[in-house]
Amino acid sequence: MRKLFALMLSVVLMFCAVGCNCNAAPEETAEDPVDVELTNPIIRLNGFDEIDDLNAMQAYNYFGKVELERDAKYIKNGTGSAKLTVEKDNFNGGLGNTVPYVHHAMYVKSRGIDCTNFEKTKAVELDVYNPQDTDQEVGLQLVYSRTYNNVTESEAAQWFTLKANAWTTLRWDVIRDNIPLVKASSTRRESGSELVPLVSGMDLLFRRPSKDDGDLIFYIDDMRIYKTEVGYETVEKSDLKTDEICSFDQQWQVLSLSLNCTNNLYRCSTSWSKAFTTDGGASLRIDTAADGGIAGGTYIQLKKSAMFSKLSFMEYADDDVFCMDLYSPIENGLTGNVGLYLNSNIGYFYNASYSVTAGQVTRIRLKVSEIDASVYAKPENGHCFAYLTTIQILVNFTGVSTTLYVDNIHMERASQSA
Amino acid sequence: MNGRNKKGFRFLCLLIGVILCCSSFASCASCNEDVGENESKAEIWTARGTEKILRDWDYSDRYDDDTLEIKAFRNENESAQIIITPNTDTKFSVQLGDLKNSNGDVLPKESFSVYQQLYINVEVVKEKICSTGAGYYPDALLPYENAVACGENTIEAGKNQGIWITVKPSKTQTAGVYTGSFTVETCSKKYDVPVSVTVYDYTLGDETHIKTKFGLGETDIGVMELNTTYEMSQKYYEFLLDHRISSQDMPYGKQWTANFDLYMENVLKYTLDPRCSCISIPWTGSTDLLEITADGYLAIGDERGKEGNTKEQYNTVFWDWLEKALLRFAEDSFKNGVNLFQKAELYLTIIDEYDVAGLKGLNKAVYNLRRTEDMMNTVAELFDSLTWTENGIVCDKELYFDKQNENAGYGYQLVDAQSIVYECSLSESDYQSLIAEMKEDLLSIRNTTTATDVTEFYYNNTNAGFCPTIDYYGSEGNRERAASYAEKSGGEMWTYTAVNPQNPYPTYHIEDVLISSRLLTWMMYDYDIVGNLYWVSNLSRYTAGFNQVFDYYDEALRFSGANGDGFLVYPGRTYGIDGPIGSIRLQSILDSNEDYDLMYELEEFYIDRGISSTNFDSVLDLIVSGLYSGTSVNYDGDYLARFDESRELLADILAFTSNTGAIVENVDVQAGVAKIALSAPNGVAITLNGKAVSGTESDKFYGETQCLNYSLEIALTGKTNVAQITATAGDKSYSVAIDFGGKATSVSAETIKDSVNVISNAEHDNDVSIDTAEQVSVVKIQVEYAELMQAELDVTSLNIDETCDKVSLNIYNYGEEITVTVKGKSKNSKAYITVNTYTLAARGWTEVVINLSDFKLAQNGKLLSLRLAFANAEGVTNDVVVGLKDILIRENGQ
Repeated sequence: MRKLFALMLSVVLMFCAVGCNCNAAPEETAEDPVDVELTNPIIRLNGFDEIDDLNAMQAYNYFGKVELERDAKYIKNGTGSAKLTVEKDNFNGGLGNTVPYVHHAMYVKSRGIDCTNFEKTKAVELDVYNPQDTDQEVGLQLVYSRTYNNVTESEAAQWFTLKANAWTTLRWDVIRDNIPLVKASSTRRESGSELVPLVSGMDLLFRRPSKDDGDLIFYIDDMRIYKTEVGYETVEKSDLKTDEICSFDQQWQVLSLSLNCTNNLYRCSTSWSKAFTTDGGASLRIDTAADGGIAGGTYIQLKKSAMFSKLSFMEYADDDVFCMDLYSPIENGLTGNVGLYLNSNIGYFYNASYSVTAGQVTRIRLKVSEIDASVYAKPENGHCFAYLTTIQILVNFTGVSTTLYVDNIHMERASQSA
Repeated sequence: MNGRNKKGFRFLCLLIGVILCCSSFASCASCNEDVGENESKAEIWTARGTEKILRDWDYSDRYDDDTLEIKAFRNENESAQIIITPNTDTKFSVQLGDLKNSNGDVLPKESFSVYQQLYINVEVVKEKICSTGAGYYPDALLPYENAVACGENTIEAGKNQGIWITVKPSKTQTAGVYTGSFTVETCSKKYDVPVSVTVYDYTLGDETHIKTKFGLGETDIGVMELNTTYEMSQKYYEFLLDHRISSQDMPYGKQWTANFDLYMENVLKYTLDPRCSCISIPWTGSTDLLEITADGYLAIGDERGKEGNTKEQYNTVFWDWLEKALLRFAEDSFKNGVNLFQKAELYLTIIDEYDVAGLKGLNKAVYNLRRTEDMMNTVAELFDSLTWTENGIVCDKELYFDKQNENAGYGYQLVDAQSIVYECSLSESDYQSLIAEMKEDLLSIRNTTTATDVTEFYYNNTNAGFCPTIDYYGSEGNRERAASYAEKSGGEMWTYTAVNPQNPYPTYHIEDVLISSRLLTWMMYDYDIVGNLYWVSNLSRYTAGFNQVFDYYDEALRFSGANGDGFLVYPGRTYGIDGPIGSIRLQSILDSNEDYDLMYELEEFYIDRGISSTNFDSVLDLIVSGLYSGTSVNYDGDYLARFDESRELLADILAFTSNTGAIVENVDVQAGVAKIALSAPNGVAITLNGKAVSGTESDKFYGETQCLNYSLEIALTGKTNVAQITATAGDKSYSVAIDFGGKATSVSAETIKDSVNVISNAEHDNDVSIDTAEQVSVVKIQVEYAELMQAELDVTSLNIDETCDKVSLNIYNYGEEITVTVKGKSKNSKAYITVNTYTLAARGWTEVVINLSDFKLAQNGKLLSLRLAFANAEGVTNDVVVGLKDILIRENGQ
């Protein structure tokens, strides 16, 4: 009888959810948890109760399968959950460390809920059940947009531990200040040219099991959105020091890093750190898990358009110097190579590899003339430092848990040094 | 509410109906509803499998079409539709039954497949011509049993619900007409639907002959099905094969470098699979820095290293991997004793539509094509260097690329290498046969190169397989250009459709009429276009902006510009099906591909008999007559009935030919007389319109039996003119009825001499006179070379109106080859309508046959004028001198 009542209640709740949208007046029910801090209720974005609810998801990178689960043992709320089968490596390691992931949209058509506008979104939560007998990991990543060609604008992933045979509630606290403002019409569901902080959805990233390990199973349920009435201000990303490219002194600089979704940096986490700095502010910290080795072709990208759009590289003379600091601590330190690629719209015009030794700061200093002398550079074609659009940092971690700091990317003028 | 949303809605109905007695779910159909004063009833009617019946359209004038009629060959899929239009919300069910012919033979109900049509909303019409406008179009075909299991077998009052019925008679099914009935049951009543299935006396082969490269997005499968497993990838690939479609994307092919063994397992498997006609040689992309001259072209030969040259980065093939792929195809061919190059194709998408990207695109295409060609030629040389031994195939050479001439793409050579032995258990003679076939097939591989025209580029890069959109082939001139290039390059003609072109050219767009996609392969076969490229069949994401599609069954415009472009299948996941769900567009493509294969098999009989392709084309012209002009589908009159007649004629000719050995070799209509050349094995009796005809001895054989030649003639003097040819072999007779249309009237050109005027901007006078050309009296038209060289024929007095379907002009060309573009003006048309461009052979006769359907005479009134616009070949400045012998007017006999 209790089960029937719960079922009836959940159906009523589910019915209420149909037609809700994130901008609607808050609805409180006895069951809804409340954001104590802000006394705002949640929006149940997806209960994974119907097969159509799964249409809000997409599976990438040889993920495996997503199915509707009806077994109450694996349901946190409502009448169903999403069963995620992360398929073992069927390519004998040929996929490298590409990370299997599913994307969950902030719009769930089957439930009539559109939460892509993050103007009033404080946090995203969901429950994940790990039926394995060992703890597992899941990464979350807030995705602003993803195009057909998998060009992704997103925040760096955060990794969480999932206790064995237990439900874990995952929470992503939203920093709205950093979310790019784009036209609401980008969603195809709105019209007009109003600029709003749009979030396409959230990626759930998993470790790819080896062939011997076999598939991994997870269940996700009850994805919900916390709202807030507290205002925010979109970060003014042009607020940089003279000749600064990226000092990482401001948090948005870490949040604005781009990760290509087909790469494997999801096994890394990036964070804003004041534990190490060479310029007195803060730095970018990159951590990898022990089994999160990164193969070639994986980059952290710093795009001019997103991070230093007002800087004109044409102003710099041949003797001016491009500078960047790397540091890896003794504990969890890295001794190996870090690659640097400098790109124009045509492709990369400079690349080099730098060795890093744990416990030591590696200072990269490159004269503009040295960069432009690269075999790949063609200044006459606009393929040189003056046309820098993207800085890519390739981190060749292997096999062990490591930490690397990147800091103080800037230009140094020869005239000032003199 | 569209079909897709019903399901979640129904679930809510079920539960909340118990709890809340919610009256707002009235549209959740059940069979005990009070329908008020209205009598609950449904119109049960039928439609062809070549048309789309919209959900909300009023078809009340068709409710009397009560019989489901299908005509199919053995082993061929053909379809028709039962449409249910109820006046109240209702559930429905469909029950099939066995059908019987007059001899009591049974066409079992298991020969049929039943699907419920699901409707997709076309919110914004993108086709230029679309009489049905925005609305819900039928597309996905949900297997009926799954529709019932999911409770989708409901219809809202006043809507049309299509049930798609496909029959595939077995290979042993006796030919004949099978009748019986199926039952449709709604909440209120059971309805018997009369069914008639004609099984033609010919069996379609299993082998797919039409070449196709239909993209299958591996990522899209995962996105849409939420299932990225190999098994799912394979199901999609095989699903297309079941529709006689080969995909360039093997299961898990995107990761071929990670699991090459798996890829090669599939290469072997599908090379041996008759459903598969094309297998992609895998490749992967890279970038190279290429040297560019100051004016933007690749620096080749002496241009290299000059001052002012620059280097630019270009997308290229990852050459080492392509080399590995070719060598692995060879190695596995030896190992398995199977020529794995026999279906091999190449499609370097990095140079797709290269000509829209200016010089950059051209350079990229030139470099990639030349280096590919050079590599393939060198691999062929490597084949020559191999040695058969009892232990295997010994190879002591390898490819080396000398960067000396890299920019030109040429640089491969064979160099000595450590000896390796490829596994091979073939005898030496079998190996020699195999390697010869492999080499020939390797060297015949042309990269499918999409572009807008055959340009000099192609002639300089002859391994580029020219592949324009189907509208390109609309003019005879373009077809000749493409054919000429194909012949010179040793390649084949391909085509593609995508967002463009639009109706009236064939498309796979949702709001286009269904016959459009069906006729694509008819045009292809007619014009010797062997391959059909389609960029992707399962596009599950938007290609612009946010990529996510949230309802795969209700979002039609995924690639801006055309509804349905990029997807022909739907995810089965939603309905508990482990694999894709097809669509009526995909079904139409299957039908179309089967039609192509039927025509292919028909031509095989002609080839076996040693009959020329020109003669075969004269027969094919009869079959396809009136279906299209150039590559524009003819939509005038009852075009669906016309298509049925074409299929009927194809069936008659196939049955006639395959069962008796008699072949209609050639059909020629000249000066109001139809001449039919026929050959038949001695002992097969031939009659023409019921009268026995006798043959003469021939040097042709049907098996061991010598054939006789027959020359049949009928004067086209009747209102209708049909040649009924019957061949009787033993106790079986097969007939072909060739309808030559209505009366033919020949008008001597001399009688309209005064109606001919020259329109020219030449400085001197032009002339129209009577002359003799090759002893035939003609109206001689002389036009001095100028930009404008036209002759206008006032044909008002000839009464060419809607009762006519063709006009033929017999023209003698006194000079070098020229072209003539024919235009015409009708009484009510405001401007001249261009029909086609024809080539007039040098110093000879050409019959210019003008299909009058383009003028829409029923609508525009009788033809007043024909205008002939002449043109020399490019760069030639000759005067035009032609002679018009006569005008033959063909009535349509209706």
